[in-house]
Amino acid sequence: MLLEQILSFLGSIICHQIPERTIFIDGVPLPVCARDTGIYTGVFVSLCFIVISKRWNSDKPVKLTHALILCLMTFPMMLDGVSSYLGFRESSNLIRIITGGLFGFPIPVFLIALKNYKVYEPNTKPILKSWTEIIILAALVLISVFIVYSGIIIPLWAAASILIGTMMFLLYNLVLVIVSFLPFRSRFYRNLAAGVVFCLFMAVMHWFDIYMRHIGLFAGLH
Amino acid sequence: MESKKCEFCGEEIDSTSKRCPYCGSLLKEEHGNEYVEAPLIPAGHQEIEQGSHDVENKEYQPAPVSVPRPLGNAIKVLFSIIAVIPGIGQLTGIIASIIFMSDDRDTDRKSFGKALLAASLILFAIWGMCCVLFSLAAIGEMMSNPGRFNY
Repeated sequence: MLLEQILSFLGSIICHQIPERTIFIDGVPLPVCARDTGIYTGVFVSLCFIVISKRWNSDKPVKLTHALILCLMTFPMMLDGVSSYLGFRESSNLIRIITGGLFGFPIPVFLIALKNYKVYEPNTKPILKSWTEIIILAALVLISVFIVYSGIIIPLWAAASILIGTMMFLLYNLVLVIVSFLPFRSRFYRNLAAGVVFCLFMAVMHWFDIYMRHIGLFAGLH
Repeated sequence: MESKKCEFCGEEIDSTSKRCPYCGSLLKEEHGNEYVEAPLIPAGHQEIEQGSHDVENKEYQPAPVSVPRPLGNAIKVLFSIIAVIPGIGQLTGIIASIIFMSDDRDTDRKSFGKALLAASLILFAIWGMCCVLFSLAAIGEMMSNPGRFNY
């Protein structure tokens, strides 16, 4: 199927796609590994929360205490990744996807506020208002991650499109944040430049991926 | 219409007006509320009743806003270097930038905070991607097959 091939190709640019570490829906693997599935599900849920609560234009970053908690959320994945790759313990797909989800959802919270942040004017619209919202968000992420893991409800094509779409959106916005530090005549030129840089980045990553597979880096992990 | 004299420039003005149309001074209201804003006096009118005006206003002067010292270059360089360390460095960068960005008094801090947060998030993404895609796979490879990378 063409869509599956395209998504799988885009997934291969940013992910190793090792079958043992990938979640299967109806016998077909998702385009990214379990950990990435968690991360992009978390990012997607967080973005949905921001859009639904009409905070797309928020420009005030989170409070320090909230930022500390959000940063703590990224620790489980780092610990899981480092300890399992160094061979201290064996990780499972369920642990990978849960820790990935907790890693993913703080990212848009920081990113959206950063995108709209104004240096020479006061910033008044907060991106997160209370502790409750962080707890609700974390709970929503865990629920969505379980839904994806169980493979029921969401069909493969929808899950795969959401994951890859979120990945592209996130990367494009990160590039846009770098590009917007440069002076551009208009928003159009800025977005165009971000698009070009984004495509170049994907091309370089793809080339790197081919090279790594060529020298057989992933061969021992199959 | 009733009129009164502006207490700063002496012109005849409407008794209900809150600001003198000639000299721009903020006037005291007849009943009650005191003004807190310092009156705007054009250069030509400054001599008139300057003394009494100053004395009158002294107690209503707002407390001076304390402006923090600008960030030193050493601190900026230090945080920029810390932000490159994988994992912990970016988290430190995020926390520091949140502190800088929420300081509304100093644009230097705000702009450095914004740049630091952008750098931290991007390095976070790059390190994460490298870990998922290449470096940790390489570590796993070396662990499972030590002889392979000895050339």
